[in-house]
Amino acid sequence: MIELKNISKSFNGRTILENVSSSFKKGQVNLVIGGSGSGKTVMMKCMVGLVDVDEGDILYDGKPFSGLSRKERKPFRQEIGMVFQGGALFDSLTVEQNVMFPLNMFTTLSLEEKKDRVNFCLNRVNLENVNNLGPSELSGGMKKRVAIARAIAPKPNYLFCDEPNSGLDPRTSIIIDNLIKEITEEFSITTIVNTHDMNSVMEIGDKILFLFEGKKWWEGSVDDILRTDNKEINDFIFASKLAKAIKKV
Amino acid sequence: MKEMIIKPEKFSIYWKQFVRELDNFGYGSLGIVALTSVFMGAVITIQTVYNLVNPLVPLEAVGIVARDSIILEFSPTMMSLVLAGKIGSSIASEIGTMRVTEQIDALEIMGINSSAYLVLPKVMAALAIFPFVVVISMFLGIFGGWVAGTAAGVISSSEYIMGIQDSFVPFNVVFALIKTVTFSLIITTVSAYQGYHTEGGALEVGRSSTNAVVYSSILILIFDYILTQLILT
Repeated sequence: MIELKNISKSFNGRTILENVSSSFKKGQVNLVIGGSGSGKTVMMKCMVGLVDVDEGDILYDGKPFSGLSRKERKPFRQEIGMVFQGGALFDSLTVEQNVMFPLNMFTTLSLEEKKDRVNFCLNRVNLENVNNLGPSELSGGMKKRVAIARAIAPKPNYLFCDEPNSGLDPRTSIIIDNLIKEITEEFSITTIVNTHDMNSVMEIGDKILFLFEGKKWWEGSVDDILRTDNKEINDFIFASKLAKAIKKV
Repeated sequence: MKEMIIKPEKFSIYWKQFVRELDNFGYGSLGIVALTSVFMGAVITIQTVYNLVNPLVPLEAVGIVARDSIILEFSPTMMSLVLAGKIGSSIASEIGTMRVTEQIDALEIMGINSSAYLVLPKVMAALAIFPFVVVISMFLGIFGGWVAGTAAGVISSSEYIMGIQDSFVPFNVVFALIKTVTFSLIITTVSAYQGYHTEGGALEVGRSSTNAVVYSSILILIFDYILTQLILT
């Protein structure tokens, strides 16, 4: 479980996150939603330690994470997998080398064992015969899947996904969503997903946190979100004509 | 710089990176270095003959001038400027692209010291290989002078060879290598710094790459003067 306790973050005097508290349970897909500039990405960067919080605490399974030095964070980091918006695959490495990278760095597995793990992870994200391709030879959806495979290769306890559906067609988005959901349940990990995609909210969200102007505005389940009368969240979720029509039905 | 100097997470991975950079900086630069050096030596020789109007000065002096100019200044400094353009821009754009596409964040998330992983092998490889590249440049520059001088008929082969053997000061080579090591440190660290602190997108990567070459070149010229003043006077 990951807990946020009153975290705040400002850049150049501009408040990005203000007093946000929440908790994200193990084995659940926790979605963080909100408009552009609402603070989702900064919150995720604070949670993984890429950005330090100004105030508040972040706890991983009860252990403090914020405020630790680089060296002290190292054991945590090796339990964290992250899927970036653009995939962030290493251009100079093949797909196989990308997925094997964290294993090369931090494990003492033999080459055979590492190859087995890479093939398992690639099969798990439904990719075959791509081991020797470079990132530039992959489609957007394949890049995301390789990024997921790389993130789960070292068997993390926490998986972070920053807008995993951005730039993907609806069908590929559903595949990625289902993959995240399956992996979360199969490996019993704590998953946090930043998303704009309302289909993801409806399909895979166990818990939803809505950020608005850097504040925690609303928190609840999918069932709750459809019934809420909160104006900001309704404006956000039912912004499109299609969503409005569905709500009427 | 401080974050860069750490105990590697896994020595074998850093070693592979180091070897890759050695190949990239050394073998990858040989073509441009050879071409530049040969023509540089040729031009120095012909210009020296052209300016040597006093009949009392023997033509062997052309060999001396060409050798010393190449060893003391042209090979270490001019090659470093060429390498700042080729390797400096490549380092800045590679690391800058990794920054804007979140590949550096991905390294950090995995618990890898990104500055050490990306910069240290490049710095070490440059320190190791640039002196060899410059020594090759010295030989090729002097060879280019001999080819051009004799082909143009402005100096005989024996006069040129006698000239390059005359009054040779071995310390000049040591001085050139001291300059080369300093310049290689400037090129790699300045370029890596520019790349590592890139913010934005493609436009900023291009800007970082340009800044890397400009700042490296300026620093090379300043340190060239400082080292010459400190060591040769």
